[in-house]
Amino acid sequence: MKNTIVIGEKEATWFIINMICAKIVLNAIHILEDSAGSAGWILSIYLVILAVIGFYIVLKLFKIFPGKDIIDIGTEIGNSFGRIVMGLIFILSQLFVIVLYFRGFLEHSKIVSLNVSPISFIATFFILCMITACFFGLESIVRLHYLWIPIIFTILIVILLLTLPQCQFLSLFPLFGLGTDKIFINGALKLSIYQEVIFLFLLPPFLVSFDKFKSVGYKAIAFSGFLYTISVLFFGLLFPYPSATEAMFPIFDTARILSLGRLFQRLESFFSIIWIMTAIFFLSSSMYFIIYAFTKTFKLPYIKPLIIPTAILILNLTLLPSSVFISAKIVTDYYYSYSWIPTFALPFILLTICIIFRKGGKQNA
Amino acid sequence: MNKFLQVLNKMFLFQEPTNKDEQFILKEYEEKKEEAKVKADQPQPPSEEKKKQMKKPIKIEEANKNNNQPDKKDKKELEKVSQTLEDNLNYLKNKYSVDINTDVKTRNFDIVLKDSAYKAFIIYIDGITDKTQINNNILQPLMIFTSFGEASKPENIIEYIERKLITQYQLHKSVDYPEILFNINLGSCILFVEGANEAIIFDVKSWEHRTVNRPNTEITIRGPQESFTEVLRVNTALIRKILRNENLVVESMVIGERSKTPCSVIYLKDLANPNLINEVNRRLTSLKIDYAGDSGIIEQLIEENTFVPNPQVINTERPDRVASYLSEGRVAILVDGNPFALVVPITFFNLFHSPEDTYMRFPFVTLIRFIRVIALTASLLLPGLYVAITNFHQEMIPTDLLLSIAGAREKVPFPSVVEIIIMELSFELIREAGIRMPGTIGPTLGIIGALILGQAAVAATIVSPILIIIVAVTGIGSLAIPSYSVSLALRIERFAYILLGAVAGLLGITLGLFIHGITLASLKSFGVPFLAPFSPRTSNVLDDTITRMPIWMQEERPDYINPLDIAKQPKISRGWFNSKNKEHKKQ
Repeated sequence: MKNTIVIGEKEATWFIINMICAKIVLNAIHILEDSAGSAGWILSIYLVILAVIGFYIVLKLFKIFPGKDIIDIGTEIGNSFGRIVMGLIFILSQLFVIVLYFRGFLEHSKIVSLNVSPISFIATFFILCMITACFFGLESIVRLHYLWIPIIFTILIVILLLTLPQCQFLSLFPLFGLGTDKIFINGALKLSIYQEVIFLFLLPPFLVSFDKFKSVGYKAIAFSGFLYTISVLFFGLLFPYPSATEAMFPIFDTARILSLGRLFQRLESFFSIIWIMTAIFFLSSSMYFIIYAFTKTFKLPYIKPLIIPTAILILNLTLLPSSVFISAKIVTDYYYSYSWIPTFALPFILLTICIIFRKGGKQNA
Repeated sequence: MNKFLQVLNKMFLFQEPTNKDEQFILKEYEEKKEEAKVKADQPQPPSEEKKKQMKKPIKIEEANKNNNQPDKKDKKELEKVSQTLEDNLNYLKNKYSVDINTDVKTRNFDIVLKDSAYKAFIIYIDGITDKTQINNNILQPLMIFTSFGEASKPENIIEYIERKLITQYQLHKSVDYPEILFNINLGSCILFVEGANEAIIFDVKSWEHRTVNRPNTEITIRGPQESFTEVLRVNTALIRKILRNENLVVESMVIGERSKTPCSVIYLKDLANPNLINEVNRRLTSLKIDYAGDSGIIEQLIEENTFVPNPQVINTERPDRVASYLSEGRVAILVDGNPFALVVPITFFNLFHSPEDTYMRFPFVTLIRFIRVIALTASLLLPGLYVAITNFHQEMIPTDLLLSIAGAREKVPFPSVVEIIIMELSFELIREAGIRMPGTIGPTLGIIGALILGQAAVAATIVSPILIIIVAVTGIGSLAIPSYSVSLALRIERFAYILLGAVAGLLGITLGLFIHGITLASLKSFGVPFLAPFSPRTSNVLDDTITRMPIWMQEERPDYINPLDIAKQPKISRGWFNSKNKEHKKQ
């Protein structure tokens, strides 16, 4: 499959930033706060450092195979078997993620604005957007990302800054929250919040050069880290630890307490435009890449015939959990504990195989 | 009583139709019917054979070849000028049905030389040719001045006429009938001479046309007040008047099988990307249509995506705007008989620029462009947001305003979505009627519509007063956008947002924005992404898009057009500024 689409560095960076940060509007902040207490922001900084180290290892692997994505690398290492294994790991892991996210966004929509609408009705709107985006293809998705995502995150930062008068700086203490072991040992598993870096592994053919790939990865992790850190920090300053752990959608709650004089109150509904947009971007991109990986893994020539079946599959899987609590439990127990493995551990394993068996051409000679 | 029963009888019981004269029905032409009958009488191949024939694939080249082949009927026709004058005359008389076609004129005469005489005739269409030129520059020299000459019997009579007799400034010879016919239709006068196998085409066109007037649809306060007319050559001249540049190229072609409309592709050959020029020419020459009387038809046929409401080509009636775009490396298309030029490629942001944006100082323009962005947002989203917020997100509205809205809507029997659709449709009706009304009544109707209808609707508690404000702001917003095509597109899209807002509140609006956005992101205008230079990002994003930088800061042409020369002006374009500074430093 020859790629004729070329994605710019800035477009790719904002694309990955959105993929990583989309869950800020869900419960990612809550998870960090829950894991480290008032030291959630320290945990966030620690996770950025871990992600940078992890990405450094990833880069070592991609440097051996410049211009090739993770499925191509699988092919180089293990021929067709390698290709199918790598493809399936990507597809299944991302299918798991998209289903959980989709359910999360649906529940969020229901709680925030459409309380009386059935969840399937809300899902129809989302799925319609996902299908449309996939039909238009990667070029359009990434271009729209670049146009919208900077605006979305600027508004998010403005919302956070507007809450400054309500912040209580004493909430930062105890500085190390639940303890250093909770932050630096148990907290390391929360590296999963950067699992979406895996989408970058499919971008090398579109980015053309390795330097761009490297730059996109580091910039995306750094900016996402900044967004996570200020979000956790402001949330922690607004809601002291015990009450913070009870908030289901922290950023929504943050927007809710915004009050600017008599006229501008209850801005959370306006905020919903932003997070719905973030959600749609995330879901459509994920679905597109699942289909893309599927076609690449099984050497199928076209993407479009797979769009509707994939959409139906995702919709059905999304509606499987009987309640929001079950899906939230799966997110907490599995997603945040293990989803870092395909992103950071797998490339390490592949790199080890390459080094041992001297695969990958001149760079690994 | 009897009559009454008859009436009842006629009303309720079946009456056999009486024999009346048959009303006009457009029936199939008799000749065609006969042809069909003859075809039907011919033995048909057996069905199996027919099926086989149908299944047999034909190569594309072969199919094209077949399509391009002239009809058998054409083969019988003359393709070259005959040496026999009678043949030429008969052929043209037959071709133009001169017997019934009263405006096609032929004039037979003799060209009398010293010792010989040649029979000749001219043919022209009355009304589109200049009679004075025909009389003074063609007939007079041929019929009177010949007797003054020395020649007895020249070797080549056509050559002799061209070089020694005719005083008409613009003429050329032709042997091909298609060219001759095209020129007659265009307003030329053609001279045929006995024994000559070529004809002379005199350019004596004299179309009745509008003079160069003020623009009607793109009115500006500053800048030139000229607009294109319906005559192609006048329009190209208007562009040449602004761009006095030897690199300005005007390529010509004819579009439309029947209308045979002359079109021109205009560009600066040292700036416009050759790939772009080739693509424009390729699209235009590939058009196989019957009638291309307007640039609007050409626009619809050359744009990339027909099913998206947003226009992908700029149409303008201002020569200065076209010249400005040409100097950026774009290509313009002019169509004869139409005062609007098409400019390609464009981006989404070009559609929100007014011609006078370049003539005004940059802070004013930047402010005006921000106002246009607000106008766009209001025109597109305001009614939808109103419906979404009043139905789903009442908590967003400040308490005082909420009470005011609730109070105003208390007696209104309709839900807000019905209310807004009624008012939007009424507004569209007023607008459409205003356009169709004669000039003096149009504005009056607008005022009556807006004031009386709105006031009456509020008084009758059909709609709430706040809704009148919403609809009015929306309408004004759409009128504040310089491009009429965009304004129309927004009118369609607005209804979609109203429905989405009514069905799912802000969720619906956001989903609408996403689908709208991704549609625009996928659009291209002659290969240029529609959202450039923002996405994909190219250099000098803020030079002339939503904002406008000072003229001296706009050093480069738009990168996304890929012009042959990107530099518009040197880094220091204001030479005086630099020298003045140096002088100050010296002092």
